[in-house]
Amino acid sequence: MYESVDTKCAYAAPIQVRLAALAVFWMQCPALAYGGDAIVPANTGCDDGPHVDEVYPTSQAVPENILRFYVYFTRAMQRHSLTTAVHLFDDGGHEVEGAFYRGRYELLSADGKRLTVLLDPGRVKTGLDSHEQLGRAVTAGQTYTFTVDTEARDTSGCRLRERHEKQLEIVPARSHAIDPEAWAIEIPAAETRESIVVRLDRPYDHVSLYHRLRIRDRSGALVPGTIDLGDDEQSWRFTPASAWQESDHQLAINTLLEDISGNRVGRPFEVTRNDDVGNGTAIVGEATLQFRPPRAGEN
Amino acid sequence: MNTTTRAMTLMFSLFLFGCSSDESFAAKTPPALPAAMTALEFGPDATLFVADPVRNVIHAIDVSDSLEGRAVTEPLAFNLTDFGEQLAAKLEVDEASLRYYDVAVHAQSQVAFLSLGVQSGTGEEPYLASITLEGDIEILGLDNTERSTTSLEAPPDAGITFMRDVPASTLVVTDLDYSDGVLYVSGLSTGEFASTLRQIPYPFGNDASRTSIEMFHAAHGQQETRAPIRAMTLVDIDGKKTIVAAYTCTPLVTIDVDDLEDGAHVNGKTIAELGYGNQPLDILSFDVYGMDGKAEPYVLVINRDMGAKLLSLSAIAESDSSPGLSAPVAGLGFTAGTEHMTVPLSGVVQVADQNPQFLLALKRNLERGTTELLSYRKGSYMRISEFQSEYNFPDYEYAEGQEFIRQFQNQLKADEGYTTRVRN
Repeated sequence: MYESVDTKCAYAAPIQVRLAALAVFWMQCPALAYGGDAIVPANTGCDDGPHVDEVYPTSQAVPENILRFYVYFTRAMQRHSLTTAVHLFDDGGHEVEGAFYRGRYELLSADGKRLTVLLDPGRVKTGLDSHEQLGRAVTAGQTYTFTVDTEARDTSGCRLRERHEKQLEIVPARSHAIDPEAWAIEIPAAETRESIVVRLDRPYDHVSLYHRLRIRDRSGALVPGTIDLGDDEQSWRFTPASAWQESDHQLAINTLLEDISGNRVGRPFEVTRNDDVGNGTAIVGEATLQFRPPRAGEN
Repeated sequence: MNTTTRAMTLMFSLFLFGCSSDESFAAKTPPALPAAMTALEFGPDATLFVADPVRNVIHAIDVSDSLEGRAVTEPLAFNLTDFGEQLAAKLEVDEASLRYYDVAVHAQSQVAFLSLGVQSGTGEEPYLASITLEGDIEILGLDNTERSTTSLEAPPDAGITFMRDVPASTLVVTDLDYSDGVLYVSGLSTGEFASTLRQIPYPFGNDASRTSIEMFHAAHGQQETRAPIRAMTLVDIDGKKTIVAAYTCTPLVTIDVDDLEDGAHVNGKTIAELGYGNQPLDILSFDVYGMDGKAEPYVLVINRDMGAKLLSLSAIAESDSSPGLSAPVAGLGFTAGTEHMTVPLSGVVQVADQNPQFLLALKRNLERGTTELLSYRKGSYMRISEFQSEYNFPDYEYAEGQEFIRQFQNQLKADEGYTTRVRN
């Protein structure tokens, strides 16, 4: 019998059931299968250790062609300890092998607090051997668990305080380009510091949303302010540092903006060769939506 | 508030990569010391390029002090089987705290350079080590070394704050290649699935001289996607400078360097599928001298999950002039495209081109659990001490017609310093 905050890894079954379930148990709870805390080296001098603050996308429902997860830690993490700490399990508790891209160098942010976990692009992308032989790592209609194990360590050598789990419900692939015309925009009143809110048509990559949408004033200068996301990365909110002027503004959309499957503005992640994406064409640009904050009380 | 989509006009304007807000580059003086050191590549003379994923810059470091008096005329081999232990002793740390990143060899002096990190209770300290053929290890002090730096990152937008701390995308450099005054930088973004290949003239100068190209990959001539390059090498095919690269989605592609126009969308041609479920670590190109003394150019793909794949440049050139692969392979375990052979170079952390006769491998010894720095003879891609064969028995009699094998065995024995085992 083991004590654990993780109910899936707590064990109280009769012996015959235990033997049958051993393989699954091992997959999900390798440390506990050895005898729980006894084999995990103590986090000496670590207080409560780092933990996972957030996993993006925040939504439980993700499309089959999802391209990446982001794991935010509460502290700067040690390189090399992270790639092997991330796993994906199907609803039977079996690990999905080869789900993630594992490169020479981990995709860690400069501050060491954000790990980018790419799904193997060769499996996400159609028509390649990896996709043809192995298929995508996740299948629409099924559920999975994305986990970050306690072997992840911060730069002081402290292990993750507890295993982090995120449940996933897979929905069909989303393979069409972003069209800003499909967004609904709540325009604030002039002379106020009300937020402009953009209601998006699907979950977007949160890094992309923070960095690729900006507001410009009549002269084209960036309007200072604060950006926040909501509705599982399906809304973008901008609150200006000072009151809106009653003049023309632009929502400036860098066409590098991506949804969580890598589709961009005007260009899906995958296109057929017959589509108009010929060699030598410029591929990065800016789309703009014009708006003018009305005087309070006006529509 | 008004909710509207119709009242707005959606307008598109295109601009080139080099002018986009996230692609603003600047040389900084004086350059900060590296905060981390990963991918390495030698440039002109004694210039070593070092990728720094924490500062998101590339350093150009003058390592001439480490090369002084080291001119080597004879191609010799590294045989450092206790390298990891020696390096840990030099740094006065536990060997388990070492994290290896990349190796590069200075061609004229045969001095090897290794980027590494040492993990401690307070983080990871970056180090650059030089290693001579005799096994002398020096840790380079970079404070007083001549250095220049080029940034891979755009400055943040002034006046914009976020409700939560969301770092911008940075480029994790996966490979560096230098040719004729240009540093080619491939990498993976920590944010969007960007597939930018950057060309940065050296010495590092102003932004205008840099170009960025979006690489695309068409799966068997059908679906096309952005595809970051994870390993590459530059070769000459019929007088045309050509990149041979592996994408993150693993097929081997060729890209004509003349097609690389700033801001352009460029397609690589798929010439081979080398097997699924594998990630290539590096691609090297070099000449191999045959028994007739004639040099034949080859490309070697170093893999993380399977043995290295050797392709002759003439076979690559033939594939490059054909339409490329048009269908997935026949099934599990099959490969397709340019003819290639698997060579017994595996278990490697990293491999570099060393000299006309050898490759240099930083390698894990799977039996002893040690880290070794060893040379592998081009053409054989093996070390005689790693295999037991009847030829090595003292009483083995070479038969008539086995003269080639005797000479080959003697050569491999001499490479590793077993001169007393040479058989006449």
